[in-house]
Amino acid sequence: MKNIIITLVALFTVQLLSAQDLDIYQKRKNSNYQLPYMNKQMSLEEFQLLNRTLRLQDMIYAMVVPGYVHFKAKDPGVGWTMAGVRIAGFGGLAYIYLKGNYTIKELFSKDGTDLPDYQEFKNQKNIAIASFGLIFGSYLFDWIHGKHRLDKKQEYIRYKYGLKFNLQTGTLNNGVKNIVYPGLKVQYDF
Amino acid sequence: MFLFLSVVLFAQSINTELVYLRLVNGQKDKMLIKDNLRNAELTADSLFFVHKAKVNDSVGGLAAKAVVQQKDDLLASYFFKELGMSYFYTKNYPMAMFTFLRQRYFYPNDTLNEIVSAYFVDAAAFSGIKKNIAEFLLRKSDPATLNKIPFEERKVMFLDKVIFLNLEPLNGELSKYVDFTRESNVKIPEFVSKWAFLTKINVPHSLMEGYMNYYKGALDSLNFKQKKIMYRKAARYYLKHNAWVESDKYIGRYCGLPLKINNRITCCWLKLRRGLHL
Repeated sequence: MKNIIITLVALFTVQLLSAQDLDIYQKRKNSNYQLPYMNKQMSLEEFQLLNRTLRLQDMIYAMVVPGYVHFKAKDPGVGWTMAGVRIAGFGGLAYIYLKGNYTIKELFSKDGTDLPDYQEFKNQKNIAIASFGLIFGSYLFDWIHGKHRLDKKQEYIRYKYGLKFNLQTGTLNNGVKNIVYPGLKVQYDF
Repeated sequence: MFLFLSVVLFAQSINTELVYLRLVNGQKDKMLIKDNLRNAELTADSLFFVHKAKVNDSVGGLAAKAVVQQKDDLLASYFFKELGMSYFYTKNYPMAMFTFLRQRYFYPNDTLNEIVSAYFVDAAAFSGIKKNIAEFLLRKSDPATLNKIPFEERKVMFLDKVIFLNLEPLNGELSKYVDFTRESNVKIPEFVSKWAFLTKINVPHSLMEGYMNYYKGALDSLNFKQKKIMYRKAARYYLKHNAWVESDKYIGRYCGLPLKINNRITCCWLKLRRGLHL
């Protein structure tokens, strides 16, 4: 039984190592030389936005770099705002540390009502709560709102070029019966 | 045959853009409309040159050429109208006015006269332009009159009217159309060159209206303050771009004016920069 469990865990781990998100070296990567179809009006920014997907590694980066997801979604205004919010959060924690009256652990473990400087304790506790709120809130907002923004921008780009492509090639049914003509096609792959 | 086909294919691309503009304008989704403005401007810019190419086209026979040209002009006029509406819905009123003027001057259309006039007057009001000025521009761009004037002349008339509007958000677009006009081998009148020069050297927009007399007049029409600003800005502009010969000319003119002590210091500083090639 023990051997079966060890084998299953090992197989699962091996499968996980080749997963898209966690692999260190992509073995089957061919996007470097695969040339995509592009509309001639497409700008570099639109092409970049369409190519971007949010992965597990981006979630980890966003913990370290404030506003990372918004920068990736080409929304630098919100990105820098998130950076400012997180810096403000760390600033609050730095203030508590430099003040030196209480540690973060004491602020959250004690009640404080029996302390002589209860008001000061309460203030610092509120600052600590607000700071942690800003730090985690900025991360969550960056991730959730950033993903929403990226998805929305991609949808607009796909809608625009998809609809124009269909209008150009006449594949949209505008109430006229589509007539299919036989054709001959030669394809050569390099 | 190839030229005829290329004109037909071009009509297809205007038609695609026009249908798409109608679809998105109907949805009134501002982000969707804004997302397409860059693409629509690419088509609009190309329409500036297409007219001339069709005039020179001698393939397909005169009758076929006239039919294709008429249909494309119709499509182009509706395209500009829809693009103007897109700018209107996204509250970019100066560009809406600019686009409606493009439609009226480049592809005049009697059918669109009423609706474009109505939106033009509204856009002018929202841009801070007086109603009588808007009505003046509409009278000058009457389709019945413009249809008799060659396209090349209408380009210059268009530039004249947009410069007359004096809207700062339009400076970039207007500079682009000045370059387009030069590219299409049309002689630029002197007033357009003067406007382009003043915009290039970054004369503050609030003062530009004072230079209107200079556009169609001589240098003497400028007062002392206007000359001082123009020479100083030009000297700084050419120094920044390491154009030493031109900067010498404007530094000489600036320092030759009867300046006060603070402006004399500026004059010395400009000469020092010129000497040190800063």
